[in-house]
Amino acid sequence: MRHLLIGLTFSCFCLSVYAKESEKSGLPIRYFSTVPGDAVMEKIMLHPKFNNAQEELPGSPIVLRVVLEQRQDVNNPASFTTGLLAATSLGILPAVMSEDILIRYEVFVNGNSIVDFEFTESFTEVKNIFAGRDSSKLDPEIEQWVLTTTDQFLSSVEKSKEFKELEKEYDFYFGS
Amino acid sequence: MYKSKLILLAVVASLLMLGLSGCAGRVDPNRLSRGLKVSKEVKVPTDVELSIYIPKNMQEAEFFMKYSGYRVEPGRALKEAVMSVSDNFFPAVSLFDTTKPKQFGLLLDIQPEWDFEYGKVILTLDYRVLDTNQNVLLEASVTEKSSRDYNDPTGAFYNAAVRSSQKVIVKILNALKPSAEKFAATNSTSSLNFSQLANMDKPVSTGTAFWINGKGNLVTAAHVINNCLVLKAKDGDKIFDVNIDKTSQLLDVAVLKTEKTSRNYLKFRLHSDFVLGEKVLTVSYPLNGLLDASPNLTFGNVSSKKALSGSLGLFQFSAPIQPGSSGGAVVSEQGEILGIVSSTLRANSLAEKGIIPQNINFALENKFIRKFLTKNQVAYHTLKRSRKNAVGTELASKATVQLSCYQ
Repeated sequence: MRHLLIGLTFSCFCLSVYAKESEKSGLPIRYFSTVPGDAVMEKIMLHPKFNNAQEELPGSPIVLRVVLEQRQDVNNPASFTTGLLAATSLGILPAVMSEDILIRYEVFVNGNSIVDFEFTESFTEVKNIFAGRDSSKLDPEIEQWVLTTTDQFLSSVEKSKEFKELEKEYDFYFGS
Repeated sequence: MYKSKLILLAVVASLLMLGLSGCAGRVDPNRLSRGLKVSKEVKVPTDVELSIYIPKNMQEAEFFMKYSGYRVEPGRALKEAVMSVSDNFFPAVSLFDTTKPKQFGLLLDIQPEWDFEYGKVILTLDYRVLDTNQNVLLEASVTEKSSRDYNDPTGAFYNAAVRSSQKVIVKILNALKPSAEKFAATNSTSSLNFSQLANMDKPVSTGTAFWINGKGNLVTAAHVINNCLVLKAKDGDKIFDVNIDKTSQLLDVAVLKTEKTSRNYLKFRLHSDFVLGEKVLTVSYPLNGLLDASPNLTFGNVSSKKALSGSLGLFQFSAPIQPGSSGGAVVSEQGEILGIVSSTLRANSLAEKGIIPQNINFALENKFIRKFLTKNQVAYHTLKRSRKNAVGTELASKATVQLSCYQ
């Protein structure tokens, strides 16, 4: 009876380990991002399609790349005027800068882009024009918007024909 | 008077400081640069169907600035700029794509080249305009420079591309005065002679392929033939056209079709297994332009049955390879196909860590190539038993061809 109990406990343990492993149903994807912080990566990796994505997977032919770009819009009259004032006052007066934030989610297979989702939004920022940008973190307002784009990307990629074909091809050659 | 001079000085100084603070920004593709004007005789926007060809490698050009963490995308900037500028005057514009044939009245064939000088990006666009019957109507070149913006590293590429595209489009409009009647879209891009479109002076890349049957099928790595507008193979002294039949980007393998056939094809090892340490050889055409086009034979061993972590279907071998070797067969001493040369461990990235990798090369396993060929119903042969007297070097040399990719 004791042995039976030990056996049952052991098999339960094995099953739970197996369940945890098999939960990783996504493709083995290498994750690469220029977005400061881990919030986007963590959100993506919680999704069943990407729960097998890793940053350290140098040999994987499948890559998910998330690129964030910040472009200052100096053609905006407000940015120009306040920028001029800020420059005249040697930076004592702050400038109201308008900038476009662009985020692109792209899936590559052996260097070929198969799906590409791009989102842009304009933000206004009050800053000293001579101050450097803190590249280690995002402004909370921008981060909040970025995370909404992650949701949109995940829902779009799930429906993408190209991504479904990739999953099918992976299963054909490497599925169990 | 003195006061107004002081104000003027302050404004000039401020503008200078703004410039120094790096706020260059992106130019507006919808506003023509100074000095450019479309002639009043030209009706714009015009309804001519314009197709624009930009070599794929230029559309996809990008690099990573390691220390600043920025990804710079000259290819994307060029494509966006050319299409935005053209769209203002040619609303029926489309980017040339071999997979999506389209009727066209005019074809703009662009061959761009990037260059750099201190703090500036220089773009030269050599271009030709062809009508629907592929007659060359216009041929010229423009060059534009743009200052680099450290807040937006791709911006300088975009600005140079917008300004040069505007020059090109204004030149086309003023010189040809295009209208849908004058340049009717009677032909499709599928009817084009691609050799006339691509730069055939020299290939953008070269690789290797090998015969797998007597029906004119060659096998190579997909990355060798991706994005080629024209593909040519050289077998001995004969040069012939090659068409892509099937590809798998996931496996990085492609099967090609030719009019030519060869009896010197290679056969796959029936049992896909191979032994760790087994002797292998590769025949390929590396370093095109440096080495004369002659098969290059190297020996090594199967050094591991696995490759980099996360890789799919690859094994590691030690026979030396160089750029241009991709797509060549990795064969046994008896001449059986064991795999296709796929990639190598990049020495420069490891050199920074003080590691110099030696002959760490990767090949796609035999069993996956066969699975791919079976799926696509392409004939291939297997060897039931190793040919003891067969000389792998000779078999592999005869079955290997050089591929040249033109864009």
